[in-house]
Amino acid sequence: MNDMDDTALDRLLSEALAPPERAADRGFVVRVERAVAEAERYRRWRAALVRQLAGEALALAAVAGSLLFIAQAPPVRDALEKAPGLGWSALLALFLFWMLVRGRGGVRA
Amino acid sequence: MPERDSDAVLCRRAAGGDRGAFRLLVESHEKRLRAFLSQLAGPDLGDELAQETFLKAWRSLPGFRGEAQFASWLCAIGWRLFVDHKRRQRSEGRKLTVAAELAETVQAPTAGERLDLARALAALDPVERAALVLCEGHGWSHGEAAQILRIPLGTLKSAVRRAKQKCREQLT
Repeated sequence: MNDMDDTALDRLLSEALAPPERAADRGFVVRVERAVAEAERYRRWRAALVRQLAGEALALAAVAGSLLFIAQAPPVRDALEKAPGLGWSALLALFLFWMLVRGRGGVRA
Repeated sequence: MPERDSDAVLCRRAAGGDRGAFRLLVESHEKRLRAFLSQLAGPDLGDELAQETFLKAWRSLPGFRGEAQFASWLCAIGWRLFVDHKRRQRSEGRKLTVAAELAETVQAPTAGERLDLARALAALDPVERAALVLCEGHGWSHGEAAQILRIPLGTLKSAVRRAKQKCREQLT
């Protein structure tokens, strides 16, 4: 190939680099569809997880607030002063109960 | 037979979560996008990048305002994914593989020319190669190609000119 002029080079390039003339590749389209479906499933799972965590955080905050309020009441405060382990036991029981509930109602992918 | 919806209509429907509309967009644009990315990265990696491009397009469609053509928006996503990939993978061994794979992708008239042109393309800088493919092979204007590659128009024109000069030198 000697002294290729501009026209010949342009023609060669446009023939070589043009997209192929063919019908849509079904296999590729299906692969993309599967990837999109998978991405959607993951997005929904993540959104549900965020909603659940937000709900749980709110519930924990509410329970903690209630416990603090109850602990301020004179009879409860007196009882806690006499037996400090009682408060920790109650908190542990509450935590275990929450873990049990969370384990049953967890978000699934 | 009902008239096929335009890209703009399909984009709006797909942005609202209509996967059927997105499928039609994939069907009508995969050929060009895969050809572009294959000519940049070789057929295997080109297909991987094309799939990733469509996935990213699906996620980003709600933000697509339709100021550019869907096809050029798609090419721009593909180009950015290719550039990111190149950044991650800068080994000499990989470059040689791409050069060899490009020989399968380029579809010039004769086997001799095909090999020569593949070598010439493989020797080009990625921006030069992309500019040449978009402007000479896929028929984008210089302005559109500059937008796709996110480079100034003058830089794009220089890249095309340099790429053609390099190809001419390799082919003569």
